[in-house]
Amino acid sequence: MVDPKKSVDLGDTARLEEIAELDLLGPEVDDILQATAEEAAERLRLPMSLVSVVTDQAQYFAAHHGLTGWMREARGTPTEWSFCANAVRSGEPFVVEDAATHPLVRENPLVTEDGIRCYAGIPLVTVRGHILGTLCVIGTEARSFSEDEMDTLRTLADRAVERIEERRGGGEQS
Amino acid sequence: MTAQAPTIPRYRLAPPTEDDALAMLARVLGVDQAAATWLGACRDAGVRRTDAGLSPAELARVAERLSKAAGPTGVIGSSLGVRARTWLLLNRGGA
Repeated sequence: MVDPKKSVDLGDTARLEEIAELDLLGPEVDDILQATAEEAAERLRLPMSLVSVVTDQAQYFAAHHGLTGWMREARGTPTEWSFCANAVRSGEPFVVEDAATHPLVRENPLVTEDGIRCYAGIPLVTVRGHILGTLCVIGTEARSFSEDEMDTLRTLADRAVERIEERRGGGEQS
Repeated sequence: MTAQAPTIPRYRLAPPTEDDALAMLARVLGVDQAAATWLGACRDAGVRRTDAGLSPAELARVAERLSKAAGPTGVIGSSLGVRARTWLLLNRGGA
């Protein structure tokens, strides 16, 4: 069992094996997680949401809602632009209320070129303790996130993990 | 060996290269197996390797092939594919 509180190495082979075993990078995964992504955007009243899977080279959008343009077509971004990577590395929720002033993302091209201004992401942790990616919501205007909204996002992230674990086949859920 | 494609200025994004791909694969497969796996993926994708290196479009085709592999190799192929598609889309869009 991996300790999800330890800083995560995004290129760790055991973590990549977990992502492969759960088969999260296939097109059919979108059908399984789409409803959760859509509900997250609707309940937090934001235009975009993702279920992301983060590696040391790229984040892959296993499911998404509201994306347009090149990000929708690429179905991911390089990891160095990934807001979600911060939540995966730390194992903690990552919140950006105003990306234009946030020290970790204010020079990120997704902010300067694509207009992302707010973000909240919850890590997706498997029963084995691997952090795969996040369930996150994204907006184009600065805003804060209440405790109730973060609780909603946590509940939906738990649901996403349940759906993901159902792909394991052997019924390993605890 | 690197492709001669430019960095996309506004995004400060260089195109992925074969060296990047081999380094990614070597971390999980070891150097020799990484090279063999890459050569096999190039062959299966119908991409001919040259001294000039692969173009980003060719690299995307090989990554797509690699993404079908089992285990971490497939995950690496998918990651490489995202990087290649991102560069191609932003380059096409004139960013």
